[in-house]
Amino acid sequence: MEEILDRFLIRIIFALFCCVLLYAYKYIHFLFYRKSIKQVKNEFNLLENPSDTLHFLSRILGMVIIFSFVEFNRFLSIEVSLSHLSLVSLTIMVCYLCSLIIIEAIVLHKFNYRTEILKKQNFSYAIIAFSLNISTAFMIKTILLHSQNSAMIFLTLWLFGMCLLGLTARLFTFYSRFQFNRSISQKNIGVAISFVFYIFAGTYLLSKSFDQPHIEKYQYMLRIFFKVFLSILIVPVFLYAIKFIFALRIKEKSGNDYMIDQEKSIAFGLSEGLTFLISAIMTGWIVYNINLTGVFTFV
Amino acid sequence: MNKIIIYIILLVSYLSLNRAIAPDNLGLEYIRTSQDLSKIIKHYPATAILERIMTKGYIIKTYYQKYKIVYAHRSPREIIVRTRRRFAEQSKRFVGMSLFSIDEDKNINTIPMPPGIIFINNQKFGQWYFKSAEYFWKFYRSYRRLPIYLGWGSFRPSKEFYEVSQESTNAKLPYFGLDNQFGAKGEITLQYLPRPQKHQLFNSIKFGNLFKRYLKTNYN
Repeated sequence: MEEILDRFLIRIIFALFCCVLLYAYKYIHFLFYRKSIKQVKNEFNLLENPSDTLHFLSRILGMVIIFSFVEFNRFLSIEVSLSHLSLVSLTIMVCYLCSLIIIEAIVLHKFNYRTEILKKQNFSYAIIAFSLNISTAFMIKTILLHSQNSAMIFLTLWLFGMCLLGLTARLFTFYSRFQFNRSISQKNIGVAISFVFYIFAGTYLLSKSFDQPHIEKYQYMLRIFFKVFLSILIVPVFLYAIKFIFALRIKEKSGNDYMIDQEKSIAFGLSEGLTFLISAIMTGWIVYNINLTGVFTFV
Repeated sequence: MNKIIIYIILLVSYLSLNRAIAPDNLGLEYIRTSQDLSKIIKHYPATAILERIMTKGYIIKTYYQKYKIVYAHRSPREIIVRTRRRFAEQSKRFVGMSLFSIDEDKNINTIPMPPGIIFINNQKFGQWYFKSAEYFWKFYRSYRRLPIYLGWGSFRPSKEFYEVSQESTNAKLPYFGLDNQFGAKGEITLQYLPRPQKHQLFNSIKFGNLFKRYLKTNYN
């Protein structure tokens, strides 16, 4: 009974400590994003602005996704575990918020939070920001898993991973028929849906590319680069194959009007995003699950 | 049309970059002919004995050759190189023979010869001795391990063996030994380099066998 109670109490202590960390996150977030003053002053109204709610909560979700990576070990004393947890968590928080600044500067450099979320209540912008928050969190989690507890390896892989994620996000304009910046400013939900599936698919492929034998960091990064390059070459094969096999065509006589009409643009965004996600999963299977190392055959 | 051009450019970049800097392709030298082994063998006198020819690949085969480099003054080492199909096919019958030799004066010989010809009749490495009405080559004590490295076993070259090899070199013809002891079908080569046996597992990987085993395991 004593042991059960002891374990329960330790879990409660850890849970409370995590709450303290989340509280700290609230203020660290404010340091990085001064415009979110409402969230610090407890003036935030959930029902007032759904775009702001999505934007704010997605950042907490992203943080929690990375937190789920951290492990506690019983053999360490509770003080050591708590100090380790707080050090790792604070580093992760700073790193995550820096990553968000970088990725938003790459993808949403023509927009700003105050205009789009606070003034215009642009839900399209909020959905795109949500997808970026979650993708960045998954990327950082993957990088943490492969950094072998080394700060230098983590820093190198983090920069490399952010470059790849930024490049993937920028390539959306090349893939999609939507005019990205114009559609967002028009609050087009279709482009947001398409982007969400696209960036999730991209993150899936990028995360998979990190899952390789890690002996020497430059060779490891080269291997990641080649896997990503190979994925870029294989994705279009599936994209065209899916469109051809399932006859995914737009039977519209009025030109590109379907991109302006809200309902039709959602359908188009869904088809564009989902086609990419399907292709990405198939590509992941082809690139990462088929082992072609082969053996020597004697002649 | 633009997208197709971009795709082709990306494909070509991928293939060339992969060939140039991919970690999996680094470390293996490429040789077009045995002459190119001079880029790999930096110390002399030395001889490169072809030990195995291997292929890798499902649709497009890549050819590899395994050489044993025997030096006069250092320990031997084994290397694997990539090569082109034509050269690999041509050198099939020269397995176990020396395809490249370089002497102290940097003279290169790429005519297929029995291993170690370069060390014979060189007074620095050994001398001829008379036995049973014939002269045989014997290495000095400090080079006593060379016959083991060269895969000679109990074979000791006679003067006649050496003289015929020199005639072949002058005529630029491959030489397999007086009784064809060397080469892919040579007696000494087969002793030193037994042909790789196909593992029993490979025989069992036939669709029929696998299907029968599957039925037996799951439906009996």
